[in-house]
Amino acid sequence: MEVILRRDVGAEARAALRDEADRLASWLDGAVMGAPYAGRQRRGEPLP
Amino acid sequence: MRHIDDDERRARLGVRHGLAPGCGARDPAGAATAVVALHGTDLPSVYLSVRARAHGVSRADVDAALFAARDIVPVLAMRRTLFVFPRALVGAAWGSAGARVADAEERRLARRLEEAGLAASGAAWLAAAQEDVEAACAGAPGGLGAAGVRAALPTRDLALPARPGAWGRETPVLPQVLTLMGARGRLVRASNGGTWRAWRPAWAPSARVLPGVEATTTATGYARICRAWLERFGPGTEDDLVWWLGSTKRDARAALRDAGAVAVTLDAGAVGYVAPGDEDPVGPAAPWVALLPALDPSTMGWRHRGHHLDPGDAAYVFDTAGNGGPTAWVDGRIAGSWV
Repeated sequence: MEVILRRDVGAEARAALRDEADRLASWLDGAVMGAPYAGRQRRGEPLP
Repeated sequence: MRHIDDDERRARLGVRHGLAPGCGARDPAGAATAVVALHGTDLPSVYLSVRARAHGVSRADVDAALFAARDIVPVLAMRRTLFVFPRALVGAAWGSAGARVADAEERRLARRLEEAGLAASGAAWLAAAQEDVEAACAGAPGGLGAAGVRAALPTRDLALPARPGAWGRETPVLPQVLTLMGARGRLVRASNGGTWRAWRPAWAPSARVLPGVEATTTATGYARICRAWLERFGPGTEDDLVWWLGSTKRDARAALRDAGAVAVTLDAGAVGYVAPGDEDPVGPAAPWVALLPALDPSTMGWRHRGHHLDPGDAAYVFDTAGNGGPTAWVDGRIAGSWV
């Protein structure tokens, strides 16, 4: 799971988001969420 | 008049939406109540929106709340969008936003049936069809899906032709009848034949599945939903409420009046409203982060979102149809997304 930030939120918030991403991945238990705009999000492009 | 600045709006969002530390929900109904209703069009969002607010809840817990205990109930309502309401608001949703959707669907379908030469009176055909559909769903212990209804009522299984010059194929009428009956509150999605990733509902009569839940009048329904929105999303402007309710401006204004909304001023100079008795300041919440799914109510809940979303980021969070994607939040602001 990847968190894509649009601004500097500071080290503590970044670490907290990483922890939350780990908890969410654990909750999903291997299920992959289909994200229709994942490629654009990763490249930092506007959504269509 | 009280002024509520953007800092306080973000603090209220964290506390009221069950996202700040110590403010979470205990169960799916609590998570839905925290945001009035969960967006349900994209089924995984229901589960992920609950998880973000009630950390100990499992997917099985959400299934049980939806389809066994029925503490939360899917209803097609505001902006012709499927929402999952806490049971206490279902009658209000049916009577107000749901009825508005059902009325529009009924008029549209009746006109199409007549234009296609399938019925002399589309309204009369639809009235009879709804009786037949309800009886068919009532006769099946677990309810019926769209395919089951079509199989059970072959003489009602009409199809509307594609519009001349338009792309597409003919469309069966009965699934659309199910949609309008769901918005009206005659039928509910009693179970889901799909996984937690996709809807494949079986429909059953509301009277059997939700005994004692009745549609309110239009005014009462809008007032109850407006009051809940003010408590959870306040302050919001009249423009926010008109958009969120998908109602006329007249109905939104009447709802604000009937809900006893209290006017406040906002940072941009606009007038906003809070619930009566909710004028006291809300202090900063403890630091919090959240990963919310696409269409989460916290992302979507206002038309004007400057207090939680930098306008320059809007194109990276919302598509051009206005659908909010998955979001990463820090202390009441959308700071990015996740995949």
